[in-house]
Amino acid sequence: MRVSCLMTYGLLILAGGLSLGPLVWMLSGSFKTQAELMQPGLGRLIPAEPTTANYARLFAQVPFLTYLVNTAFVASAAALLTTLVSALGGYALAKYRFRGRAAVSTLVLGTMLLPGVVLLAPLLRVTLALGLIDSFWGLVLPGAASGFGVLIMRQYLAAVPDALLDSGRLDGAGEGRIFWSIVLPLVRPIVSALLIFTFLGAWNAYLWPMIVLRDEANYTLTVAVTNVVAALHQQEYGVALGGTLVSIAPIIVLFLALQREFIAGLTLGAVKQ
Amino acid sequence: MRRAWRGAPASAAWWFLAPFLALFATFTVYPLAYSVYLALRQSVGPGVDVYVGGDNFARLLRDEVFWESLGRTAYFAAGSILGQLPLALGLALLVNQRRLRLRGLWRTMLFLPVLVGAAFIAVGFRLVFGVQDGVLNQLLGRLGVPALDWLRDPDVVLNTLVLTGVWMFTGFNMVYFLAGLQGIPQELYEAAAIDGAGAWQRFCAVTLPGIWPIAAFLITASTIGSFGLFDLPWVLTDRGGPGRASTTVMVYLYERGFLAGDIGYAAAMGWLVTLVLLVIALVQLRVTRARAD
Repeated sequence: MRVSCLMTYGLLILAGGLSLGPLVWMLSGSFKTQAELMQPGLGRLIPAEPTTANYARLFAQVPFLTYLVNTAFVASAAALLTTLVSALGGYALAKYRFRGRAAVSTLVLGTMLLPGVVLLAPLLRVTLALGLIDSFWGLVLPGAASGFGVLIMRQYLAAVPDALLDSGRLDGAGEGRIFWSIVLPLVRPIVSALLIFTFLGAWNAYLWPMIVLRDEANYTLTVAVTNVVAALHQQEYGVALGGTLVSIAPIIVLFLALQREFIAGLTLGAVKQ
Repeated sequence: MRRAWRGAPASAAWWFLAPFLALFATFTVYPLAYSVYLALRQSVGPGVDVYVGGDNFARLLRDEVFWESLGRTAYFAAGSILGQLPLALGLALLVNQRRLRLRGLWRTMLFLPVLVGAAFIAVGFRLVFGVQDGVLNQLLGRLGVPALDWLRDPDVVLNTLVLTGVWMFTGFNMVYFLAGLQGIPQELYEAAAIDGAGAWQRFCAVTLPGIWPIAAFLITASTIGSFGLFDLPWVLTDRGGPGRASTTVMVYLYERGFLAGDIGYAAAMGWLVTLVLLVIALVQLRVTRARAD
């Protein structure tokens, strides 16, 4: 029993170490001088001469703060809009009986089975035609009508008792008011899960922002870190590591503060099982 | 004036649905239809295209680069499933032990990589896999494993991507398995123990059937996710390189449609990939269903 107990913790420490190791190594590397980074060998965990020069260069030579703000704006807008649109649509499908309800549900479900590969080419043309190229709305709007989001919200909102809505109606509350003041507060967990799911997806999105954004001043972090930072500092690894870490840090801080919501948000897919 | 309640007014439903429907029509339904139209056309100049019928599809069927990219994508999908799922299940079993201390800490540590976007990971991991003496080679060297050129050896790069995927997603799969394990009633284990089943027998008779639906879901989800693989080969192994050694279908589609401007060809490719994926998913569903019965 003791042996197996030791083995459990041994394996968990090993797995945890492998999981965090690369991030810790990147963190340590971002405080090293280029000379120390280039030395062969594993290097030290604590840099020999810790320096913040990489971070200083990151913000001085590249408009990195702009990229951070761009990304925070895009991710927040995407999260809020997608969640609101999904909640409204899911509510209609869950709580009202109307002609066309089944048709809408079937259409949404049908398109969800199609992989994103199919949409990429025509979506660019549509985005161009609407004048959304090189704009943040070109990143936010195409994803805002999320079939996944609507179906998830429908599933959760269906559990809200009809009697509650009826008593609201008897008290003279309008339909919008019932949704906003009675229904939404009841499903706060799924709302925050969907907010986080969308926020994280938009923060980390790469291919679509790379296609849509043209002007460097509009870049989000993924595009900036892979293009601008990597190009300017091809030989300055510390700066690239610093840029990566500053990009990841806000997400990790959010995660540590809201762990339960994060795990719920990222495992939303299992809900339908 | 307060009027008597007459049930939920159906007209309100359309108001609630309106924002979704407007966006959905613009950015999903219309592009899907447009994609069929595009797939039958070919770009002959900037912004000019002509109807070519099924020509794009005929070209695709003969396009070796496309089929090779598809093969690499399938290799990545298979490698990801075989690499991530058993490991994730093993870790879930460890973390799920009843008397485990610091459960939350272990779960957090293992889950953390999921948060980091693939593009960021790729930039950081370029240095981990490194040139000649990257950290990974140094570590493996201490264990007596010979150094590999993780990013530039055509025979190795796909495995580099699989390995990075394992680092990124094992903790994510583990959380799913944990949820599955917690859904298995404890009485089943007790009953099996009373029947004299050993640990291995209990695992086969109780645990595996209990988590099989989750495993089936993860297999399908990993396959679909793998077919969208773009960030890692584009950034980590430098635009699907060396040569075409890590060019996945998504990288090839992007190259042809967005860099070379042959958007009709890219649309056709999208549809063909969807068809392949549909067949794979149906086969998987068959197999996993049969297994469950």
